[in-house]
Amino acid sequence: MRAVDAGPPATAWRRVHPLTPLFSAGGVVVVILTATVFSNLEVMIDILGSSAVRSMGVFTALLAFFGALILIALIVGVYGYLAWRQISFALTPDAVWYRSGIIFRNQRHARLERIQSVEIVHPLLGRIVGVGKLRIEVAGSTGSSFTIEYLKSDQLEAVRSEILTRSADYSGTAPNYPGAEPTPGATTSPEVAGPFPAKAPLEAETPLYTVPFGRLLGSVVLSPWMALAAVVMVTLGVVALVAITVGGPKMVWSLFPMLPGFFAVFSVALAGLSGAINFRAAVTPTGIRIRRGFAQTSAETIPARRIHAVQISQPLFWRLFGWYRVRLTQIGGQSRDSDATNRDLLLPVGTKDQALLALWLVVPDLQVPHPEQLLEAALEGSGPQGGFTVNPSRSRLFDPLTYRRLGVCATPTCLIIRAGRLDRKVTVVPYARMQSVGWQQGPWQRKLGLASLSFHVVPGRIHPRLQHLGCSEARRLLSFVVERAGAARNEETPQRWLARTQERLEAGSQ
Amino acid sequence: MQAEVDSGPFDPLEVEFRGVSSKLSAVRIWGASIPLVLVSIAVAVVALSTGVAWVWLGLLLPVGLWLWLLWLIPRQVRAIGYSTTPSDFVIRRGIMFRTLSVVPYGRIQFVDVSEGPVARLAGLATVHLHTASASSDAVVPGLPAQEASDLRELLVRNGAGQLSGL
Repeated sequence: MRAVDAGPPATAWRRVHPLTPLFSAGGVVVVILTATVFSNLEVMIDILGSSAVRSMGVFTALLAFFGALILIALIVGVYGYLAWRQISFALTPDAVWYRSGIIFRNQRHARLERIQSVEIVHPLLGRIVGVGKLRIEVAGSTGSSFTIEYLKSDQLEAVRSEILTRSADYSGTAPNYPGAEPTPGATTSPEVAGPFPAKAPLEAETPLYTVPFGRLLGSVVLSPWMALAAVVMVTLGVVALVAITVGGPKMVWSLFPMLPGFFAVFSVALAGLSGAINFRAAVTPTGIRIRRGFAQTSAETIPARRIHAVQISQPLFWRLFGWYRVRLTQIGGQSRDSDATNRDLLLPVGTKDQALLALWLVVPDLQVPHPEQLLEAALEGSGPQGGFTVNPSRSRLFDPLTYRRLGVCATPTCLIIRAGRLDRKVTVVPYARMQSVGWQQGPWQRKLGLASLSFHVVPGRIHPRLQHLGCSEARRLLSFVVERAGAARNEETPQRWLARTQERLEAGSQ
Repeated sequence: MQAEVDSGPFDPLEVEFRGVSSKLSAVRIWGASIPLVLVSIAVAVVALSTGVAWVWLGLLLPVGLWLWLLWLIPRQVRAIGYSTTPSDFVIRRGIMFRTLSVVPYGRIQFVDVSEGPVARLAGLATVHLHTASASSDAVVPGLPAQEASDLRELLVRNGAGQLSGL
């Protein structure tokens, strides 16, 4: 028995449209054939005019030509048939299966309750013939969708509704967007039954914080890249000035090197401002609503439970004003806005209180006796104070500068990773959101009894990682995190999240 | 067919690892040999057509590389191990650079089973677990076909039982 052919019974497997291999390989084949023909047109004309063809006679030459064409068509046809025979899909009561490939066989299997969305796609060529593909989205990471191609249009509809009905039967709710909220009436849990809190009618917004333009501009000016640019520009300016005073007005050209510098400064500033201008955050019943933009405004609502990691950072010069930046990684965040760099901002620049508020929105309870001290130590501390575990001194070899600052604190609900001596960074990941945990150890690390841990979250800018821990500490942490991550997720319903947030905001305003 | 895993002082979770099929070494050596043979043929052709004797020395590189792989690959294959604890799937690999991944069953989004042409001749398949994170690196190569589909069954069953959201 072959592993790839195992699974549902043979009768459950269904075939796709017979033209599928032509469609999926067709584009490539046509392009290659056309390119070959055109790039070798001269050669072909030469061959047609050559003495060999002349001696053969035009009729024979044409026969050979069409013979070759038929042969190619035959090969393509046989390949297509074989490939088509290998493609099949199956719907079982709890999963969708898909298998394909002649030489490299692959079988994919997705459980129905894991399916996020089912989409029908009609490519241009397919629309003409009336076939399309079914794209089944499974989870947030790239390459996680799988495509059943190609089916006739009416078949597509049928299969899609079949998948949707089956998964609705299976899980009790239809699959939808990962962040879609259950309707209030559907909630049956006794604690959260009943309407939303009276003070918060549906979709009402409670403002959290805004970012004043002056502060934003200041934060851009105080970024490390800007400092570097300033140093370079001042140096160039001084050099030019000296050149002009010594060499006279004809040395004006020495100012030219500053020109690209201005462009660089401009682009750095623009990158810093993008996605942060006019930034306003508010609380709504469905989640955190973020509005931004000057000419073109956008509003996005992020349900708290879709946020998988938070990172508070403080570039060196921001310490002057006690500013912080908060980023988040949300599920599905990267695939939608892969080109925008600042889409993951939860707070572009703000005070410590604002940063801690932003963190608290996502991670309500650290479940430690002195959360303030812990967060203080996370943001500004170094060494083992405030409950942080630091690396053993033998790891100094790997991190001579940041050694004192590197640290980790495993609270009952989430992991707090502290790093960065000049550019401080604090990463917070709830165990409930970790997808898997990895352990790495290279030869030097083994010699010194050290190991590194990485915590895998959904794709984004935050990659939680602990470098060069002591071996026994790494072992202890690994088993602890694995046990926590595997434990049933204590889900906070949107209603509770709103109640909690409202309470805090009211307490703050009084 | 339970192969022994070359474990050493590397067992952070204190679980028993199951090795993969030793046939995987042969499969991988075959896979690595083909390009080396092609390089050797190219060297031989150049040496024969130019007639320069020292060109034959160029054969030392592919042959040396091949011998090294002959030594390395079986060691690497012996270092691959997986384990199915009650709540997690654990996979380890590597001798010099050792890595270990722990994937809770409830986090598995879907499972791929695939087999290449040479592996199929040896009756081997690869099981690939996908979570919502792109960094989760959980691939078990070189499983006998029956074991691969059993493993998939187990992962699917446990994944359903311990299902947690994203």
